[in-house]
Parts: sequence; structure tokens; C-alpha cells
Amino acid sequence: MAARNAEVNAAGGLLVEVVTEGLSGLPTRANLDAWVMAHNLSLTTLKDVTGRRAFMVLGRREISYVVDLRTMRIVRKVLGDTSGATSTATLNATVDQMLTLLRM
Amino acid sequence: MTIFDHSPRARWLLTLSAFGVACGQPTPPSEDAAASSDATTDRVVMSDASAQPDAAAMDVAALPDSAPDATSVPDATSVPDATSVPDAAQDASVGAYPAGPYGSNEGQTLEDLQIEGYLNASGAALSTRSPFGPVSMQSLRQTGRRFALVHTSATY
Repeated sequence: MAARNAEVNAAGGLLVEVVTEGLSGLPTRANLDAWVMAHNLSLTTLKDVTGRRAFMVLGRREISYVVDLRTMRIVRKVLGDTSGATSTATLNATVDQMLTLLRM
Repeated sequence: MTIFDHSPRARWLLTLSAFGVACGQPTPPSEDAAASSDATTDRVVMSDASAQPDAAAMDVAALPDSAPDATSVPDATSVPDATSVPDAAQDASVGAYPAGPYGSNEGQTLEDLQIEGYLNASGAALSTRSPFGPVSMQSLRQTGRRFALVHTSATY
């Protein structure tokens, strides 16, 4: 995801990583910081809060939503890998779809 | 008629002219100016020490009288949080958050989630160098970007 950030920014998009689960359920700030450091993330990186609303609404990994920020309408929802593997194939395909929308 | 004319109409016009000079404008205040004056009055009331202050009122009260726009003046007492976008001007014109009903499937409107973390729109630096704080979906709208890819992940 980080590798596509500059490309998305240049096209007028925004990449947002939301950590919805931690080791013991609710992710902590330490979990988030570790996530940023481990993946060298220089993009908007968020985590769920008490009440776990983000988890309830967005779901567990790995799901990508392309959202029109003017209307907040979800224009694409793509289910990625849920097995625990770290393939970025689905994510990259979704980034490509968003770039297509941005260039229309 | 001369300025020495002492008729009631001349005295009224002279008074009106003097009022205009005193106010720094040649004509009586327009309706817009009157509205602006009302807004000033509101701010004064909000900053009244006897009133129940809120954060917004305190920010406005802390501004110098000459500040034309409260949003353009940084509040030295405020603690920066992630809702500020330091590397891109916030777009206040996005308006209110879209109304529901909300959902999480294609074609539905995503609700204004209130979560937290690092809002790093520019991607110029590692995210942990950005302020940590509350971030909402409205915050994302205010970056001025057209589309966002929101990706869920987990740290196991």
C-alpha cells in the first residue's frame, strides 16, 4: 500500500489504513505505531476505538472500500485475503480501480 | 441650499454626513453591515465571562478584534490533533457530512466513523511523525481529495 501512496496522492486520491483488530481485540496505539514502523507507512493510518464501531462497520481484514469523498458513497467494496496471508494483489487491483476513477 | 442653510432638512443631511464620516463610510450602513454588526454582538455575548463558555467561543474570544476570520488565526493555546491537515489546506467547503441511511456495501453511504490515528494526507513523512488524535470520515473529506481507499487490516 505504501508503495502506491505517491501515485495515489498525485492523482488526487487518499489511501487510508484502518487497523480494526489488535492482538487482544481492540488495537492499541502501540499496535498502530508498530504497524506504521513495520510497513514504513507514510499514509493516513488509523485504528479503532472503544466500542469498536470501525470493526462493526468496516469489518475484519482484509476489505478495501473506494469511497467518493464528496458523497461518502461506497463505489467499490473488495474482499481481499482473509486467511492471514499478506498478498497485496487484491489491494493493488483496488488501487488501480480508484486511479481509473480519479482519471475519469 | 448651502451648508449654512438652517432648514430642518439641511440639518438632518449634515447630521447624516457627519455620522458617515465618523463611521468611515459615506453612506449609512447596509443590511449586510448590520448583520455583521449583529455577529460582532454575538461574539461579545459569547465571550462574556458570565456566560457558559465552550471551546469555540473561547477560540473566538481569544482573537484580536481586527481578525477578519476566526478560522484563519491559529489558536496558540490549542493542542494540535490529527484533525488538522498540516500539509494541505483543510477544505471547509465540503459542507456537512452526508445524511444517512448508512451502510457498508457498494452504493451505500459510509457513516462518519469517529476513530483515531495519524492523518497524513501528503505522505511526506512517516505517519508517526504526524499528530496522533481523533480522525473522522469528515476529516478525510476535508483533505479535498476526491476518492479514498479505506483498507482494513489487523495486527495479530
